[in-house]
Order: sequence, then structure tokens, then C-alpha cells
Amino acid sequence: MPLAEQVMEGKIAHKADPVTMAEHDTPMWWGEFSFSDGQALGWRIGPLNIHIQRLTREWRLDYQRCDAADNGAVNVERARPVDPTMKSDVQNRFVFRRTTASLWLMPSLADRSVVARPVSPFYVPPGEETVLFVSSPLWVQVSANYNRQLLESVPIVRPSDTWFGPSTREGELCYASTTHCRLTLEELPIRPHRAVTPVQIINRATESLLIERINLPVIYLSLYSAEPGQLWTDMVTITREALDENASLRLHKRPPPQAGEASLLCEPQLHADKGILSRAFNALFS
Amino acid sequence: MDNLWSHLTDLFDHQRLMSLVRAAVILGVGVVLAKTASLSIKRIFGRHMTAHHVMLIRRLVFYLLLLLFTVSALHELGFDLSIVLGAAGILSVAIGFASQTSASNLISGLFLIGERPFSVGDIIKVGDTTGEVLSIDLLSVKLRTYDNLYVRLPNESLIKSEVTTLTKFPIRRLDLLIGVAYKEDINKVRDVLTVVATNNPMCLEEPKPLFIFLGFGESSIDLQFSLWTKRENFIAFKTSVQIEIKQAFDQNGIEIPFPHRTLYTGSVTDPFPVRVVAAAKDDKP
Repeated sequence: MPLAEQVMEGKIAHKADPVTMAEHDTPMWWGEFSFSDGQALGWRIGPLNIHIQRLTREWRLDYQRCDAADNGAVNVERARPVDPTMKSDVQNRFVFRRTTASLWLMPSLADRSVVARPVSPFYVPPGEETVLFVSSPLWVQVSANYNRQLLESVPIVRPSDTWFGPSTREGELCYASTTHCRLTLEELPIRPHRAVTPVQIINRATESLLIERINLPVIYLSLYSAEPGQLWTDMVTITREALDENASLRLHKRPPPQAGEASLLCEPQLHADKGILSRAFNALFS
Repeated sequence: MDNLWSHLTDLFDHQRLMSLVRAAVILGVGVVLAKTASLSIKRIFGRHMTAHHVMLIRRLVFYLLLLLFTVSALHELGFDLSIVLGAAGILSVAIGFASQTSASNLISGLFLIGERPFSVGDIIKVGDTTGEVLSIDLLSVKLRTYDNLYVRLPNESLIKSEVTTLTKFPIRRLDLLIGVAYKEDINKVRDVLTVVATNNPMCLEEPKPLFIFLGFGESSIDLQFSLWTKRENFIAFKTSVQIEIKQAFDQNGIEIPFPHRTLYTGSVTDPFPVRVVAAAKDDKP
């Protein structure tokens, strides 16, 4: 009998009990989880509460956000048993011929570019370079059943929309990062519901480069997990060329050195050819 | 009877029959050619031009070819074309007078297609009508309004009047006119409004919200608070942000005043005598 059918018949029960494998106080909330029929489990990732229940023919996914702001200490509770009758703000039901035990919760990056500001604008003089650390909001992708069917993608914190462009007619709709980008990693608190991107900025032009806002195309970036529960993306190098209105954007396609040992969690949503993008200069900085 | 018989024999006269067959063949070939040409135009220009322009060229080519073949067919039947054309000239003057409005709409339609202020699928506002453009035809533009009504707007009126395309740019500005009581601290009002804008995820962080002190109104200090949002979110944003502003004002004790009048009797008169009645219910007989 094929594996998929065995799983569907409920003959394979190889996964650990989620309650016993629950590791409270660990910030790693993602992974594969096993549900018995009728079981309801809950996650708390920062301000987002997700309750998931498996029934014989359907998955129920409830979520709500508490009003706590997106800063300070972040609570993470992973796979704790919850009351299945509890009601949330949003309830979604996904009906299958028959549900199977597996459920995956995975982080993913935004589907638009993320715009971040430094605490205050600064200049990069000609010939200089610097590394900025940008923190991007994350989405939770819930997929289930033997075929890993994507059920829903929920933003952990709904980021504000923003506009990035030279005028209100031309530009790009982006998400605004709720946190500032920083020049040192120590200033950026480790948050299990946000991903950090090191952005190296090289100024080869003859004029100083003023950085007020930076537009980070996260749809081209991979997501990596590193100890202790920190999420990283590829490092990005933006080079402003001399005598050119364009800036080249190089994606390193490996975990950044600051992350230490890291493993790939999520592929980029769009693949850039050769890992280099050329963008108009004012499409990346303002 | 004999007369009719002679007519029928005339009709089936060999030569006449042959010219009839030839005319029919010319017309048939014409129809097939016109259709093929119109289909090939769709294939050739379909990728490079808008659906509307392709449709227009297709129709033009189809009718032009059909007209040419019809004229040839008539010629084959023995009609004198100079007389037909002369008659058509007189007829066209008569038709021209009778269809002034249609002609005007037709010309306006051509201008509209050339100028392209909007295209099919856009949301436009003409006078009091707002709706989605279903088609731009030679005589009129058809709209579907939000309450699901089908509205036909003559092209002539579109050329003459102001047309607003709501879906031209990806972001829109919402201008809120807010009146607050004279006793309020305007800086505090500004801060409260800014917090509301920051906390609403649909409100764009950039371009920044705009705060304008409009002036000293009759009953309130008039302010304008302008916020930007994604075009598709406009209605949802308009509702949510105004609810949030009302809640924030209530929480912070900021008053939105009703129009009020103060009666002043002048310095030379005594104030109005006012008597407070404590228990009006008990006084009733």
C-alpha cells in the first residue's frame, strides 16, 4: 500500500505526541506536528494566537491577535492543548475527503518588498561601505495532510502598507517595517517572529549617499533558522555605482556570517537570475 | 397568365441566371474573405493592441470588404453604379440630417478611443454616476454601477463633461474634515489623529498623513486630516479609520461639537432669567 494511503488510513502513527514534544519557552515555533482525530492545539507567536483542530474531515484554523504592540519580550507557546470550543475572531474551515495527522507551521517572508528606516537618516560618504540590519515581518504558513496542502498564510503582525517611489503616480506598494534598521546587531533584539537581513551598502559614487529609507525586496530572499531560534535571510549587497543611476543588488544565496550555523527553512518566492538584480537607484533608497 | 409565364422565362433566361449565380458567388466569396481577414487581424494585432482597438479594426475591415464585394455583385447583376452612388449621395444627406446626434456620438467615440482617458475595467465617475466600464463602443460607453445597474452614457456627453477615473493610480488620498470644540488643545488632537493613522495597517506610512488647520468655524475649529491608502482598500479604510477616530476622541475626551448658537442680549439688557426646576415630574398635577 502506498505511503500516502497508509497515512490516510491512519495506519502510520509515527509522530511523537505533540503534548510531550511541546517545548515551552523555546522560541522555535515552526516545524511538523502530529494531530490525533479531534485534537486541538494552540500556538502563540508574539501577538498572534492560532488554534488548530483536526476533525475527521476538516481542519479548523482560528486565529486572533492581542493588542500587545510588536515590541518588548515576545512570548512563544508551541503546540499546547486548547479548548476546541473556544471562539476566535477569525475561523476558517478546510474540508478534505479525510484528514491525516500531519500539520506544518512554517515561517515565510512578505509577498511585497519591506521598507525600513534608520533611527535617523545618515550619509555614506564616497568610497565607504556599511552593513545595516533590517528586521522584516513574517507570515505563518499552515499546511496539512499527506500532500502538505497549504491551508492559510497568516501575518504574525499585520504590517502597515507604505508607498515607495518618486511620486504618487510611480512607485511600488510595500510593507513598512515596524522597527528601525540598525547599524549593529546588538541593537536589534532577537525576535522569533521577525527575520533579520544584513544589508551591505557600498557607495562607489563621487557623492555621499543619504539613507532615509531602504527598500528591501524580500520576495527574492531565502529564510534560514539559526540558534537560538533566530530567523535570518540571505545577505544582500547593494552597490551604488559611480556615474550611474542604477544600483546593483547582489543576493548572496547563503546564510549570513552573523547567523552562525543556520539551515534553510524557506526558498525565495521569486528567483532572481544569477542572483544579481539591477534596480534604479531611487527604487531602493529615498 | 401569359404575361407571368413570359416573365418567368425571362428570369430563367440562361444569361440572366448565370449573372445571378456569379453575383451570388462574388457575395459568398466576399463574406468568407471578410471574415477570414477580420479573424487574421485578431491573430496578428491581438498581442500588441488593446482588445478594443482590435475589435474596431476588425469591424472596419469586415464592412469595407463586404461593401466592395456587394458593389461588385450589384455590378454583375447589371445595376448602373453611378445611379446607385448618386442615390446614395442624396440619401446620405438625408440620413446625415436625421442622425446628427448619432454622428456626433460616433465622432466623440473615435476621439475617446484615441485619447484613452480610461479603458474597460476601470472605475469612472461621470456626474453622479460611478461604475465599472463594461465596454467603450462607437456610440456610447456602458457602465455597471456599484448597485448593479447597467448605465449607458452617450460618448458626446463624456467628451463634454468632467470624467474622473478612480482606478488610474494605485494609491488614493482620503480627506477627512473634522471639527473639534474650541476648548480642545490642537496639538493633542493632532497627536491622537497621528496615533490612529499609525495603528491602522491600511493607512500608508508614506506619503505621510497631512494635517491642515482649515480655520475657525462657526461652531468648531475645522481641521483636515488627509490619509493615503491602497486604492482597493479605500472604502474599508474610510470606514475603519473614521470609527477609530471617533473612539480615540471619546477615549481622550475630545469633543466633536454640534452646531450651536449663543444668545447674547447685549450689555444694556439684563441676562435672561433662568430658573432650574429640580423635580419636574412631581410638579405635574
